[in-house]
Amino acid sequence: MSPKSKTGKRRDPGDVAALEPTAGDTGAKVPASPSKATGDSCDPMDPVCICDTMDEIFTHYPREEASLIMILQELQDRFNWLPDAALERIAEELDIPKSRILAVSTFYKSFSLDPRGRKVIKVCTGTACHVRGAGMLLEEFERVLDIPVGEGMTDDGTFSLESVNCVGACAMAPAVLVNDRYYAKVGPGNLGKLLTKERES
Amino acid sequence: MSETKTVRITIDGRSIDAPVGQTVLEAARQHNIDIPSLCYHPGVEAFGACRLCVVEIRKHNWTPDWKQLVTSCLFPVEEGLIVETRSPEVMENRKVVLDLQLARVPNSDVIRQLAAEYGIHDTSYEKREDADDCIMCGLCVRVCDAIGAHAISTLSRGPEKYVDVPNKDACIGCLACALTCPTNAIEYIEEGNMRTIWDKTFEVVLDPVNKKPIATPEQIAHFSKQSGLPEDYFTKSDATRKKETAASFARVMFD
Ligand code: FES
Ligand code: FES
Repeated sequence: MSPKSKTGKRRDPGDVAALEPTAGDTGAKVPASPSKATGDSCDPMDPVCICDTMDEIFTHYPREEASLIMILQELQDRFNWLPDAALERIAEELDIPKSRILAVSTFYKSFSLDPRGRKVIKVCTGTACHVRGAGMLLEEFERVLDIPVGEGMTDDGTFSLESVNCVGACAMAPAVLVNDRYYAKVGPGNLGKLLTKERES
Repeated sequence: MSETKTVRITIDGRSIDAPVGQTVLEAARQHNIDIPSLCYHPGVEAFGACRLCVVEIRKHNWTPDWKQLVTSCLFPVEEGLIVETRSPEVMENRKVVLDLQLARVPNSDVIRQLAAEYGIHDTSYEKREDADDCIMCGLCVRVCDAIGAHAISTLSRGPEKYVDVPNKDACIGCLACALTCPTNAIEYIEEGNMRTIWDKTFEVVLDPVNKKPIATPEQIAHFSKQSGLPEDYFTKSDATRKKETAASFARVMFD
């Protein structure tokens, strides 16, 4: 979390329990037809049931505590965040207390407990980018997208905004990373173009 | 019973026989040698978080001027180990630790008093703003896990790290975290038959005789399930249970 946004600090991770990914917003393979109920919490009529995805993820790793981080990573890749229902399921399958899972998932910055947009914009604020105006760029992104850095997503569910410290592309400063795509020398002038391009792809 | 294997170590010049598997801290305490500690609790696995229990060690096969600072709560005893608990290096190290802790929890009476004992009355570092009394030693989390409730954990990391109750449903209101916290940083309220901790309010079962609070129903159910003892075993204080037993003996003997 950036030092700027202090608000998220004492957030109760339990609060996100009701939120589920919605079909359009996530990269997850959401089953078209109601899935077979496997977890207790699964409502067979729920169009965004994640049971199938979870079932599949569990086939990739041995069911032991050591698999936790790999499973969380795969979840994060698929959904762009860690839905609470999925964490419950992991707790059950791997027999790890949920409190421990939350300790791990809040420890690493690459995990998010809040829903994130389909595309995560990472503005580099490392030294090289900083001296080339990354701070102002970040503020401009916040203004244009109308979301604070490190929290939430745009209303249409497309973008989330984050800051990172050096993405190893200092020659391209200020650098911006959208999911896995790099953008060089981003400034207020070409920021609009970047967003249009990303929105369309 | 078979003899437990012991090793001979020296603490502050005193020769001590300590059972294999004991830590230096445990051995010292057993022989009334004082080593300060904050994050150690005999009921749970040591963690080495507070760094207050540092001691200086030397081994018999080391060159004489070679020594090392270790956390005594984690360091196992071994044959011929030589331990100094108050050498100048140790004292200097503890001072730094307490100075840092004072910056983190400037309002904690426990830390202020400890620091004062080491001659530190004000921290030389920048004080934490809006500081609570938590020194992030993680004892509460270990205790909660040991009890089997798994309700609390540390969240986030680095300077942002904090202890919270991400699994509120799992909290049984046993107060173990609050009562073992070395700096009394976990707040709870107990009034009549109500108890509030981690923003969760419990009803408390009172002792049938002296009306003192005993435990929450959730706690009783948990302990009963874990121990296999009936729930009503946990609904009375020890004093009341003893009195009842005495009364029943009296009936047997005098009737
Ligand atoms: S500082 Fe931005 S890429 Fe290195
Ligand atoms: S008691 Fe040994 S490090 Fe805290």
